[in-house]
This record gives sequence, C-alpha cells and structure tokens, in this order.
Amino acid sequence: MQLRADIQLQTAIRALSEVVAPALGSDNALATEQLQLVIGMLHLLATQLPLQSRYDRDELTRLLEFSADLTATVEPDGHAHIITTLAAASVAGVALLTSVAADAADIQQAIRDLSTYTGALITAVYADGNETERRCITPLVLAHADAQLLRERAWLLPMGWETQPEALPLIADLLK
Amino acid sequence: MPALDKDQPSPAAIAALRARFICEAEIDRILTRKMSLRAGAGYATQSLATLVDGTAALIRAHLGAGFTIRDARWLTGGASKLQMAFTLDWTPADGARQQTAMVLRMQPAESLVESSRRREFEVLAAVHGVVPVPTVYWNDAEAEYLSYPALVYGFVPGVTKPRDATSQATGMGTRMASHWRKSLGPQFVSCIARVHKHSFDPAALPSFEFPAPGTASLTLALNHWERVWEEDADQDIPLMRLAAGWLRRHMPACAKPVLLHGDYRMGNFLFTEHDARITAILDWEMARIGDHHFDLAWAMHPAYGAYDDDRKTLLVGGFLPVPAFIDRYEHESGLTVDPATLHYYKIYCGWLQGVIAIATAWRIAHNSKTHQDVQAAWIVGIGPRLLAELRNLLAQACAVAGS
Repeated sequence: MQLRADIQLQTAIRALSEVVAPALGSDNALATEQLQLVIGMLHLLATQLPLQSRYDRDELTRLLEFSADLTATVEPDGHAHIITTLAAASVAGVALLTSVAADAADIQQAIRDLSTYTGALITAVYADGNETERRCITPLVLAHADAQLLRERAWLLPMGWETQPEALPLIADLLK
Repeated sequence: MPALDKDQPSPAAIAALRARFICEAEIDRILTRKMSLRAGAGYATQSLATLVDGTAALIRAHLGAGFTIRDARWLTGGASKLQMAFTLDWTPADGARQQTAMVLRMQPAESLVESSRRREFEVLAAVHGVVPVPTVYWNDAEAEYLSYPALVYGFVPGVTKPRDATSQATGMGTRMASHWRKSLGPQFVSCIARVHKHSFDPAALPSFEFPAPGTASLTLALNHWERVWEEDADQDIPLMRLAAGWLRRHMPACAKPVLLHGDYRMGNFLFTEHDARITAILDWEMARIGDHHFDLAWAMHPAYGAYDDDRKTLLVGGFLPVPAFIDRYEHESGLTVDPATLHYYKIYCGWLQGVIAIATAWRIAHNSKTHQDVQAAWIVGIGPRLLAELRNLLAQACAVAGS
C-alpha cells in the first residue's frame, strides 16, 4: 500500500499552512486561531503515529504491574468484588501482551478496564478502608503516576505546554 | 446504581448522580440540564445574524421597541464561551438617548466549565463598585431568546495581555516585562483582597448558597467537581482517585467563608496599556462562597504564572514572587494565609484542573459540543503537566502527614 498516514499528514499540513492560512487574512481571528491548532494537532499526530503501538503496550505493561502491587497490598476481604474484577481484567491484559496478533483496540480497552478498576479500588480504600491500607497504597499510586505522567508529558511535548522541555527525555527512550 | 453511559445518560443514571453528589441547587440545575441534553445535538454553529436576532429578542423583552443593534462582531479570547461585541442605540431608564458598547456572552451546548449565567449575572452585579467589572444588563439564563444561555454586559476597553507578551491558549504561561509587573502586580493582589474582605448580602446573590463556617462549603465544592468527573471522564486515572479520596479525608475547616472569584488569574482581567490600569475583572462563572485560600492557590498555580528570568522563581499571575504576593494579600485583606491550608487548596486546585482539562475538555470535544472543539482537545494536552504538579503536591503532603 502506497498511500499511508505519513504522506497524508504531510500533504495536509502543507496545504493548510501554505495555502489555506494565508488566504484567511487577518479579519477572522477565531478561524486563524483554530487553523493553527489544527495544524499543530496534525504535526503532533505525525510524531505519535509511528510510536502508538509501543506506547499502548508500555502503558498496559505498567498498569498490570500496578494492579498486581495494589492487589497485594489491600485487605482482600474488604474489597473482594473489585479485586476479583481487577484480577480478571489483569488476566485478559496479560493475554493481550503475549499475543503478537493482539488488536490495538483490544489493548486500549484493556488499559481502560485496568484504569477503571484500579481507580475503583483506590476510591474504596479511601472511603471504607483502614488507615494502614491508605498508608500503603498511596506511595504505589504516586510511583505509578510518576512513571505514567513522565511518558505522557514526553508524548505531548510538541504541544508546547512544558516550561522546561529540555528536562524531559524523548518518548522513544522511555517506551519498553 | 444504574450504569452510566456518559454520552447517553439515562434519567435514572442522572438521578443517581444527583443523589450521590449533593450540590448547591443552582449547580445541580445546570449539571442536570447538561446531562439531560447530552445525548442531543452538538453545538449548532451560530451566525452573527442569528446572535443579533436572539439578542434583540432578549432586549425587546425588557425594553420593548425603540432600540437598534449595530456593529456586531466576534470577540476572541477565552476557551469556554462565545462572545459578540455590538453597539446598542437605546434609551435607558434615565431617559437620555445613547449608544452603549456591549458584549453578548453565550455558552455553547457544553462548556469547558459548565456554569450558570444566572450566577454570573448576580455576582457581576454584586461586585460592581467593589472591583472593576463590566456593567450587567440582561440575562437569558434559560435560553428563551438565544440558542443557549447567555448574558449581556457592557464592553470594557482593555487587553488581557500586553502586545509585547507571549502566552499559550487561554492566557496560560504569559510572560510579562518588568514594567508591567510593577504596575499591574499590586492591582492584581488588591482586587482579590477587596473581594475577599467585602461583606456581601446573601439577598444579592440568591443563586448562591452561603454555607456556615466549617467544612460545609468545601463539601459542596468537592461534590460539585467529583460529580463533573463522574459525568465527563473517559479513561479513569488512579492519581485523580487518590487525590479525591485524600481531599475528602483532609478537609480543613473554614473560619469565615467569603465570596471567591473561582478563576482568578492572568488572562481573566482586562487592563489598558496606556495607563497600566486594570479595567475589569472577568470570568466570574466559577464564583462560589468558600475559603479564601482557594483563590490564592488557584492564582499561584504554575500554569497560570510565569517564571522569573532565573527560571526558578515563580511569579504569581506572572507578577509577584509567592512570598511578596502573600504578604501584600494579608496586608490588604486583613486575612491570614495558613501554609497548611494553602497547600491543601493547591492540591484541590490541581485536582480541579485535572477534572476540567482532562475530563470535561475531552468529553465536550468528543461530543462536538462547542464552537471550538479543536481548542478543547488541545487543552487536554496540558493535563499530564497539571497532574505531575498535583502528584508532587500530594507526595509532599503525604510525606509531612505520614499518610
């Protein structure tokens, strides 16, 4: 197949930047602002597409580790239903990671499921758990967030939100 | 509890959310309205002619005939609402024919911040004379005349950033030259101090609840934004769940609830460049009654400030280092800033920014609910940076408390 995403994005960006933008003129600030955002979004997409599969598998891998750590930390009897659901989602996630034919949409759904159930477990521990549980899960959540947010910030670096972009590693170097 | 399909919520699911998160009555009304309309159409593009017709219908309901709308044009700025400037040729109650520059401010089908035009109208009227704000004229809180709820207020001259400054979307990260810092910085502190120390009559703010001292105001605020997270979030985030749980367990008591602006920062006020004078404090849509530390923590957020030339010293609002900001605020307001309470509210603000930037921005773009979905999607991109700051604030608090 010849017409892949890279050439589609490249030509669309050039047309928007060199033909459409100059034609807008200066009297439509709203349209000009939105066009610049569209071009920025397409540039971002062009950098992300080649890494999307690695990014998702990396996120799923770390969510599986996080789920296992959380489950091992909390009182099993206190949150039995959530732990059972989380365990089933983890089994499904491991199966996807070990399958070379895993569909990208299935991996994304596994990420969503694990995020939902780990979130529900944290909420339950803070609402109904004991102080020891809360003390134990907090550093786990913070450590998971630390690694995940570093990747997300590196992933979105071209957007220009960072005050010290040079301090962030390249996303390709962070992905397993 | 009924399952929640966030794109097509059932009446039972909406009712369950309302029961689970008890909010101020007006907040409950607008969030229920939002969810009731969610499965419906996305934002319908509005032409200037449509807005002029709707505005004329609104004004006619109050004035009858005898007015003309002229020079209608779009205003840019802000990520949340549509704004149209126009001139009204009319005869006010004092009887003198005049031409008044006005602004129509209308929400799209869903906003980055779903808020009440009724509350915004009331608070703008209430703070008039306390700090510079536009004069409010008419309110279409139920969208009887326009396609979406809107209000009309007076046009105020000024800019949100000087021509020699640079910034991100929505005014974030604006870097100001030192002469602007010296002239505007004291006014920036003074305005919020005046709001906080002013005693407002509850009768002037009938859509606001005035909670008693203690944790009642904070509970209402947490209920509000946790409900929004449940309504809008797509992929869940463990850190956001941890933050919500931590905030519930560590609520500080508020000795004296005050009127909060709710979004006090660079980008939300106008000033005139020729005399460096703040001419209007804008965007009161997140106003509520609560702890004064909230507005300070919000203004101090790094995303709304800028770093000094040493790239280490955070300038609040792009103006003042944090110690100078606090000193001046305490002096002008007569209120005390408690470091532990301030840290709590920094965590609360970080979590709230996560709700808006990650949950709501994504949902409204996903459902094509705004006039600038691409900007809403762009704002989602700041989420990880905001959450990294939230994560660090939580880590500091837990290290101190040992929990």
